[in-house]
Amino acid sequence: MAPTDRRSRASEEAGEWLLRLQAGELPREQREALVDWLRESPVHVAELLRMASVHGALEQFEHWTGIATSGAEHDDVVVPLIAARQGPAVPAKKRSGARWLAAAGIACIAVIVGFLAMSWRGQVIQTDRGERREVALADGSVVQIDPETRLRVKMDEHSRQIHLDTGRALFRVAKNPTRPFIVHADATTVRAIGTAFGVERRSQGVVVTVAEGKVAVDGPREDGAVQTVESSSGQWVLSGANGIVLVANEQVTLQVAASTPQVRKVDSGRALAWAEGRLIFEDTPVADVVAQFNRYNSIQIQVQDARLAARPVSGVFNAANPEAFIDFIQAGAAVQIRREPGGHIVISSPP
Amino acid sequence: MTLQPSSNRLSDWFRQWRRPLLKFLASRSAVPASDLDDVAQEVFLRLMRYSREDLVEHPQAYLFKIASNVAAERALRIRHSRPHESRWLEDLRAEDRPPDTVARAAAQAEIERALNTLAAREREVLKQQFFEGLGHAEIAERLGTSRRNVKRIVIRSYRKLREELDPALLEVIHGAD
Repeated sequence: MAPTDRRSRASEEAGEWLLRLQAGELPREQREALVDWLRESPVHVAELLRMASVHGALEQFEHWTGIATSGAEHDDVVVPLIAARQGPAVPAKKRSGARWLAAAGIACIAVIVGFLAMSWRGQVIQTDRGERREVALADGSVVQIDPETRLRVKMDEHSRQIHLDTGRALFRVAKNPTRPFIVHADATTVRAIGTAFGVERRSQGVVVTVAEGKVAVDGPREDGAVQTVESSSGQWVLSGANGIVLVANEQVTLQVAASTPQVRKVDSGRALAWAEGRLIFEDTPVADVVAQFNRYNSIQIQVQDARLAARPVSGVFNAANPEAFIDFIQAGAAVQIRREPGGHIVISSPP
Repeated sequence: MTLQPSSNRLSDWFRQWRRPLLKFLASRSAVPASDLDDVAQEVFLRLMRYSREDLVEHPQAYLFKIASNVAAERALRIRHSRPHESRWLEDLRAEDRPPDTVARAAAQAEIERALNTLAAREREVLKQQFFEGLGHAEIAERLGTSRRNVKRIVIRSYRKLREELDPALLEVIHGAD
C-alpha cells in the first residue's frame, strides 16, 4: 500500500476510534482491538493523536454562533421564521458590529427552529439552572436567554412588549419602526426599534447594555421627578419623558432608590459575553466565580477552603465547562478535588 | 433545550479519557507540529514495552498519558538548550492569561476559517455536537438520518479539519489550555 493510502486509512480508523472513545467506556474486546491497532503502527498512534488534537480544537472553539449551517435541509421548519422576518424592511446587510452579533440572523437558524413553534404558542419563556436558550420571536427578533430567567412576551400590531421577571437576556431586535420593542424590567423600561442590547436584573438594580444601535431607557422615578443622568461624554442630560438614550458600547444601572444613574462606556462584547456562554472575570473571588459556574451547570461546585474562596481570579471561561475551571484551579493552587456520586465537585484544602 | 456541551456524560469517564487527553493537548503546545510524528514514534515504542494486559485496562489513558510524557520530555530538552525561563504559578492570574492573546485570537479565527471550508451539513453536525451538546443519536434524529451517517459525517469533518487546520495555530490554542 502506498504511504499516502496507509496514512489515509489510518486517519479514517483513528476517527472511528476517537468517536468510540468519546461515546464512553469501551467493552473489553474493543479495548483489546484498540491496543492491537495502536501497536500495529506508529502511523496509527500519530493519526489518533492528530484526530484528538482536532477534537480538542473544536472543544476550545468559542464562536459557534458565527458558524453558518445549512438551512436548506429544514425547509419545512424554516419557512415560518423567514416569513416572520419578511416584515417591514429587514435589511440583509452585514452588521458592522462584533462577529458574534453578525451571527444573529441566518447562522442561528439551526438553534432557533427548535423553539420557534414554542414561541408562537407560549407567552412565557422560562429557563432553569444550567439552561440557555435562543428563541426567535414571531416578529423575527431573537432573544438569547440566560439560565434562571423568566420572561413574558406580548406582541400586537402596535408594539412588542417583553417583561423580564428574573434573570437576563440579550435582545436582537428586528427593525420595525411602527412597532416599538419594549422591555420592562422592574420599574425600568427599555425601548428599541432595531438594535441589540442586554437587560439584566441584578441585586443592585437593572443593567442595560447596548451592543448595537440606540435604545431609550426609562428608570424608576419617584412621582415623575425628573432624573438627571451623566452621559459618558461628561454632559449632563435631562431625562424626562424620553428617558436616557444609550448608544452602542454604553451601559447604565438603574436602581429604585438611585441617586443618579451614570452611563458608562463599556466594551459591549465583554459586557455581554454571558450571552455567548462565556464568563469573564477580573480579580473576581473564586467563591463568586464558582457561583456563576453553578448557575450555568447541573454539576455544582463547592469550595470548602476559605482562603481559596477569597483568591482573585482573572480570565475567560466557557460557562458550560466547569471541568476546565477545576483544572485551572488545580494548576494554580494546592487543593483536593473530590467528586461526589451525583457528579458534584468539592474543592477543599489538601489533607 | 440546553445549549451546553454534555458535561454530565463527560464527568463519568473524565479520569479515563478527558483528563489524559487534556494533559496531552496542553503538553502538545511545546511540540512543533512537524515533530508530532517523532512523538508518535516514541509513544509507539513505549506502548510496545507495556504488557498488553495492562494496556487493555485503560488504553486511552495510557496512550494520552504516555504521549503527554513524551511531549513534556521533548519540551524539557528544548528548554534546556535555551535560556532558563522561570514562570511559577504563584498567582492564578498568570496561568489563565494566555501568553499571547493575539495568537489565541488568531487560533480561534483559524478554526473558524477551517470550519467554513466544510460542507454546510458537516458544519451543522459539528455545531450540534459542540455548541448544543447533542449526542450523535439526537443529531441523527434531528436531521432525519441514521446515527451511522452522522458518525460518517463527523469523521469526514475531522479528517478534513486535520488537513485544513494550520498546525502552528492549533498549538497556540492547546497551549492556552
